[in-house]
Amino acid sequence: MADPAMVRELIDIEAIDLAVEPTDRDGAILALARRLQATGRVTDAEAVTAAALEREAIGSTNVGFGVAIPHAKSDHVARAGFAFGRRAGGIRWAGEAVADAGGESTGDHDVDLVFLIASPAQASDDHLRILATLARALMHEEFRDALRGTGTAEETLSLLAERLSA
Amino acid sequence: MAERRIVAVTSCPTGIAHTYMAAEALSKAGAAAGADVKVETRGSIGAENELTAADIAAADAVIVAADTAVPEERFAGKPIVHASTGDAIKDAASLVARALAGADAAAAAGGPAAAGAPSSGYLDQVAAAKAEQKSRQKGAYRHLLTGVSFMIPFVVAGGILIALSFAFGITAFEEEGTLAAALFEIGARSAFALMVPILSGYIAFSIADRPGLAPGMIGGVIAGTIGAGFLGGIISGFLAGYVALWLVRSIKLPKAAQGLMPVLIVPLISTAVVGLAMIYVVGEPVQFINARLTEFLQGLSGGSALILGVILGVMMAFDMGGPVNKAAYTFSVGLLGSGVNEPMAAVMAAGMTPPLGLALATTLWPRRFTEEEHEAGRAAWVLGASFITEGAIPFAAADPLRVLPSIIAGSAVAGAISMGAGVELNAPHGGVFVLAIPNVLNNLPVYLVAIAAGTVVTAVSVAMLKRRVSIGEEAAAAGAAA
Repeated sequence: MADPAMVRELIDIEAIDLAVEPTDRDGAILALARRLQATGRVTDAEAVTAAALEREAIGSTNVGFGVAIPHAKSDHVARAGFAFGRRAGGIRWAGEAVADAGGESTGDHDVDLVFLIASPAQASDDHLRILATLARALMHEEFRDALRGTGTAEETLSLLAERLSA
Repeated sequence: MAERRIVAVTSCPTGIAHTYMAAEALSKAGAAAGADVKVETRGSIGAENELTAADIAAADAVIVAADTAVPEERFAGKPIVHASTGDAIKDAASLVARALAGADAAAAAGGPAAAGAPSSGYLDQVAAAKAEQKSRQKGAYRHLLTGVSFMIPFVVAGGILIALSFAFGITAFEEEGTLAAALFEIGARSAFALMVPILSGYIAFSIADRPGLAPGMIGGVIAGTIGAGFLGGIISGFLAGYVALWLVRSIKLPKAAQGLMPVLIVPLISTAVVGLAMIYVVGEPVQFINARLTEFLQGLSGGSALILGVILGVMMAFDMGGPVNKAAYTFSVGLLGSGVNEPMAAVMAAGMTPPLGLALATTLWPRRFTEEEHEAGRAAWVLGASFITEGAIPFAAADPLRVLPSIIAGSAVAGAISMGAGVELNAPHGGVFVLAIPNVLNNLPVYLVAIAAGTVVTAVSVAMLKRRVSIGEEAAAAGAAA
């Protein structure tokens, strides 16, 4: 599919936060958006957060299994990419979880793994394919468990690069 | 018991994540249930892993896991389970179980065709299907239609201008400097010369977007030069489209050199590949076919007139301007010189019935044709009457598997009647414009019967074959079955 270098084009190590501070959805999205802005991927973290919340309003991106994948398609995204946030204590995700039946959630409607996906209005198909691969990979328990088990951002990055380029 | 098959479609509003998560969940659940599941994802990349007509035909049940409108009319007659992508992500196993239960119920009720009752209201479904009529045209078919819709104005404008030039007398265009010659120049040498390149170019454009256009059009010009006709143009169009698409996706250049991709690298390589393939891979067999068929016809000319008439008719309609058609036409024109005039009559009748038959079909059964085909159908009356067989190409290129057999049948009938009755014609073109001229044709009434019979056979055949295309008819048929 893609090579690991291609995956690394989509996520920077600075965009991996293994101890997200905010405990609420909006705060967590903004925190991750700011990380994307710090690496120049996003030009306006607030605007991207607003776009992601607009998407949340259509339907929660809490897909169950403790995972949320807020995403924004916006002109304020310079380069497609994503940020990864983890919070062992859970993040309160407003809106009904799509799938609570997984039984893996750390609490009612709480998530502990968050991927914020940012895509420009016109993203390349290659990038969209990797994001699609990420979405598919998240359906597999062993991948989610691996994401919960990494010790450092470097470890997380190589896990992502390896899994998404498979 | 054979492995059961499920086809599924997933789609979500942004098309970035849920579409693919739902697809993955359905694949996993299907594997766990021992069913073969193929999932078409309709995300922001566009439809991927698209379901083919064969996939759908072989499927026992359908799952539509979508938060956006998904056209479902292609699944008519199959048990359908509707769900959101969220349902699929949360509990794909139960969706698969419901689909398989639906398939069992359908089988118990006498096969999938009888189990049509879809879960949404039938009228809703028909309305949705109509709204989605454009997007239902999948894959190769959609690319063909794009090419054809760009080609139609060239066929209509060129064909009618040629017909107008005949109005001055069928050889008037040979007189240089006359208006008839100018009209013929515009129609035959300009508009018709662009017809196959445009078809080929826009098939490629539909597949690969802008990078496809140059190799597609150039390949189409070559299809004309090597005498491969519109079928050659379809080949060059698809080849150019997929070559260009492949180049765009697989060549990775350093950022500084990326600007060279669209202006130099992709057009150069794709055009070279397509051009060489057309000349060496397509061109050689085309010449071979043409030469062998000419020999074959010469061998037949002493035998049964009826059989020769059928064969000439089949050949005229087979590829309309390709090697098979040209062999029949040049064979007959060649015989005019030796005073054998029956084959010419058969060939002209057989060349008139394809557009005439399709024009008749669009008039009698309008619902089986698209709006564009109605327009093309009106022009086809004039083109057919003028022995401009190209008037049938838009129909044949858009739907070759249904249209070609229909026009071949009609042309075979026309050719057989004309040859069988010994009708003689000593003009190589002109259509109805020559029929009134004394001494050109020896038996006008029989000739008109031959043309009329071929026209009716083509119209009825195409209407029967296209029956299932019309949504309204399908609704009526399914309604009657339910």
